[in-house]
Amino acid sequence: MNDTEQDRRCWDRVAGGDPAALAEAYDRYADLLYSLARRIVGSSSDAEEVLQDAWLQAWRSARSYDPARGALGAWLVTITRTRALDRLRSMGSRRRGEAAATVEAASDPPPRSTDPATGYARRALRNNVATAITALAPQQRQVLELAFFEGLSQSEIAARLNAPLGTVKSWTRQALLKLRERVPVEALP
Amino acid sequence: MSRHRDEHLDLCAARALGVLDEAGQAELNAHLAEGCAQCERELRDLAGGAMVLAMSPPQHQAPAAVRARVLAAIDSGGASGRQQDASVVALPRRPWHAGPAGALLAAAALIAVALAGVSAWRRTESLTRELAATQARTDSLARALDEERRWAAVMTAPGARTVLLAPTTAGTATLVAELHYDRASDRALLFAQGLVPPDAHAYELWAITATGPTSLGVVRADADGRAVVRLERIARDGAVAAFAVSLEGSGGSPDHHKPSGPVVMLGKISG
Repeated sequence: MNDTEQDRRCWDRVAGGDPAALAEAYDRYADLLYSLARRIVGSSSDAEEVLQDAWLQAWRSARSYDPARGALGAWLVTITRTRALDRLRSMGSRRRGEAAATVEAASDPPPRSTDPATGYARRALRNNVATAITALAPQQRQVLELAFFEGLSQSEIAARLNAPLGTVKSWTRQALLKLRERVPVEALP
Repeated sequence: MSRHRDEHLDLCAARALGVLDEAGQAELNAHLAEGCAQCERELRDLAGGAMVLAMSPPQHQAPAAVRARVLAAIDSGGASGRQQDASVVALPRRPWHAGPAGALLAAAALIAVALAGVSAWRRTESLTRELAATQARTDSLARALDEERRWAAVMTAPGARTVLLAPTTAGTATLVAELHYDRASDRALLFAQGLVPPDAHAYELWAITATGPTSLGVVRADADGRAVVRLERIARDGAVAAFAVSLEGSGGSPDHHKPSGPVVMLGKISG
């Protein structure tokens, strides 16, 4: 049974109201979602709140997840990112600055590794991801990060970078396709 | 039908990134509703790219307290927000023996107790057998656990070395392997991915000593090219300085001490 099939079966049980299945999904995705939330909101305490809200929302709306429309991981990422950006906006610009500084200073332990094979697979995937991100042109990386982690619209990004809107759209698409090409799709959660 | 235009691909990218505005959402939805295989495919690819981006921040361990809070909230039902199925109706509680049916139920219960007494000795015998079987299973699991601990120690032993096997010029960039080698126990664990050999070929692992290579066997990966291999008696031909992987015919090299195909991965032991 591959990871996608395992996810589908697990989420079927979540949709049926099985808390143990949610715990299973949590153990698989919580580190990824928490790390994403921290990148967006900055502080670990805000990220914890985001993570908790995101999982409770996923539980409440479990039946709305449709495997035909995408992977479970992508669905959970969307929920978490939306929650994190909402929180970021509610924090205001002053705390955002503080939060960014907190992220740089924080140094809690890296994700747990359940067994050697999983640990190795995760390290290999992280290396692949880091290499793919580094290989992007600086403007392409900046466009993706401003949109994804800061929630800026493409018009806002164009204004921020003093670049034509059409160019920003083009950079966005090219950059996403490059990332997709450089990391094997079967490796993604 | 709205004809496909390049602008639709930009809308797909904005959606995958979660930054598509309402007007864009409406336009893309209308276009997709009429069926555009190119945009559907594009959305899948772009979603993969967005997932890579989501994984790019430094990774942190999610606090255990959050897990506990989420599960407690679900368990209490306070956060579920889910509606019960209409067919599930909670019945009011009352004493089970109340009413005329109570007497019949009480009689049935007495008969059940009597039958239970008659068959008690059978259950005892059966439980004794089950206990013996369980004990045997426990012993077997304990032995298996001991063995697993010995293998796990390969990675944590004080003298253990991690060897990264990098693709050579004859290999492809998709080949990735990491080998943990403990000289003291002369055991190693190999984790590899991207091992998808061409038809009628196989990858073979080699230990390189001062006297030359020694085959450690053909590495059989799963359908996705991933392999986890346990290796023993690595240094039977002397101290190992490096490990290599060659691409061989399906049965491996005919010579146990010489690869017959190109060496596609190589990693030296440091220290």
